[in-house]
Amino acid sequence: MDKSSLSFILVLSVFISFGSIPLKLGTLANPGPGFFPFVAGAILGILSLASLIERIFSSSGKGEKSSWPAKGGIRRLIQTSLALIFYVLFLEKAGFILITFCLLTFLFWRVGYQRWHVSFAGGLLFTLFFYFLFRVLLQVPFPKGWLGI
Amino acid sequence: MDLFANLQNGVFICLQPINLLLCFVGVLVGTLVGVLPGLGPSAAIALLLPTTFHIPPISAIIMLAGIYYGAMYGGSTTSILVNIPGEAASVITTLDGYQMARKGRAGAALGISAFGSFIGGTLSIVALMFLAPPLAEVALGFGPPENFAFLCLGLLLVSSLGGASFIKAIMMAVLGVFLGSVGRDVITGTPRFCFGITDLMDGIGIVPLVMGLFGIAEVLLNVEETAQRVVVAKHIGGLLPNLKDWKDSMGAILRGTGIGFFLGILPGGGSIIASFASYSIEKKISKEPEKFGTGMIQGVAGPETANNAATGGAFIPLLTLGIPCNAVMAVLVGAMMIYGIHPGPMLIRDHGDLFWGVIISMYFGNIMLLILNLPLIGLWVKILKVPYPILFPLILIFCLIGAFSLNNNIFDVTIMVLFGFVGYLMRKFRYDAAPLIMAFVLGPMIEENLRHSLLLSKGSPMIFFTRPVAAALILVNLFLIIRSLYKYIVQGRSAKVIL
Repeated sequence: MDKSSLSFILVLSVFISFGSIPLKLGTLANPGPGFFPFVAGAILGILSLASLIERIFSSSGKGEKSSWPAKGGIRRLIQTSLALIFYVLFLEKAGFILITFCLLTFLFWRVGYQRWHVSFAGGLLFTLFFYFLFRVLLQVPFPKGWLGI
Repeated sequence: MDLFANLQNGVFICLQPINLLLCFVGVLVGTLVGVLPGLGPSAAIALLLPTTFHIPPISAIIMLAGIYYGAMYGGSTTSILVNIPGEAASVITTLDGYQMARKGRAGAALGISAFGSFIGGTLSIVALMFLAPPLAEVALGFGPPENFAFLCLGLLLVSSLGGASFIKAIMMAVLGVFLGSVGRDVITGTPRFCFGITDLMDGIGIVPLVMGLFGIAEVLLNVEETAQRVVVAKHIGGLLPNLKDWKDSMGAILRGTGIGFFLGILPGGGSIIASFASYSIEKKISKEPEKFGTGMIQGVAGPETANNAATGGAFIPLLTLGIPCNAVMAVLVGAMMIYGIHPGPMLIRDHGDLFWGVIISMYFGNIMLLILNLPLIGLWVKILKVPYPILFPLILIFCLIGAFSLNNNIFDVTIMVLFGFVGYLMRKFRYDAAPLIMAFVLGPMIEENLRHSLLLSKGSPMIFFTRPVAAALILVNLFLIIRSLYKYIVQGRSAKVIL
């Protein structure tokens, strides 16, 4: 197991356990709201610590390797992730139609490697399709944003 | 009400046009989800959940259940034609199914897969129909200690039968328990880990969590790749198996039904293990085991029957005990709770219409799937040829809209995207999401039953050992933990621990 992921989980378990104490652990006869998360944090901490120690002192080699993508894959991953974050940040301000169009066009063009005019047309077409399907047919109220529709 | 009257009632409910239509939509979406590598039935159910809020719960569950067993049918199509499993439960089908397609027998492979799935699915529903009511009667006698012990058993089985190492699976389960505790405490109303965020007071939603971990994460994993899918067969004919195909496959189909159904009941078992077990058994008992992997029809018929039979088995603990035995069932539990229906031993008694309506709908669903899968093969092949760079933005938009439409709240979208990144990292570091989802759903139930048990016993943990059923279940739990830890220590951290 990767040491970094185990270390992160260990830190998380400490946060959970210490964060549960102010919620009141109660007694065995009457467990408080902090009791269960505290126990969960403690178990998580013990398991991650034991695994980390075993990993550090293990003589059987480097253990499981994570498979990270090649350079092109990392670029596509970062672009998609940033596009998602952008969508979340601007959905309510810019409105559904504008932000969905931007997301689709960007992803078709930069991540899907389609030509820019194909991406533009595809972005427009599918935005209208989703708008019709969800707003008109299924009556999902979307944020209107700057365009007001 | 006797069985015949219940069945009649179920048929009457199912024949209502809205329920027939939604059953059809469910199995169609399920097949599509199964055909397309990436989305999965868990994410698809979570995605369609918001669209069901305005329809009766029975109709909603009929549709959502259809997605689950429909996906098992669809998953075989890509396994056979593209050598890429559409669903994890169809991984084993690639071994012989794709080889059959390469030899020009794609039609026979698809045909026997569809018929085997139909037979396995239908027979498992019959068994479900007869086993569920008496099991629910037994479970009515369970109190908080028995429920606590049984829920823990379910979690442990999922963790020990899962794909990754036992320790990793338990860590994910414990993390899921913690995530399930975020929000207001059910008993005292105290906010837990809400950090002053009002939206967190009701806890983390199951839908954004599942869509993030299974939907967004899957897309992020797939955008790394550039490999194109090559569909092996341009024209697929001869979909109806001939007499020899039936003769060769019937044994595998019947064995697959039994294996699938019983493994489906087991928490952590389910369609994936059922399909692997069926393949192993068919290879072991075959007179020509060396030919497996070169296009043996039994290697397709057995696993595909088993994975569909497992879906029927999986509904037993869900509908009778309220315990989901895999991630998909956990999402269904979440859905039922949103509708105000608490799955458990009282479900058959208090919501008999729902129970029998869903059971009968599964018969109709399996018939629809058999009719859909064979003539529509051409359509599924066309869909398979759509390049992933075109598909994935559309999948993302579906997920984003789905999360937003839950409560018209950007917070749900934020949670989904956040857990999408978490899910991606989990897959990279080889942590399984299924135990986390199961524990997320079961955790609050485990906590509630634990606290009630301790309240009843005035703090004495002996309550778990003085009641016979609870004591037996606790001992099984302890046995599982000790056995799994022993195997982990003896065989090393890379060993996969299987009961």
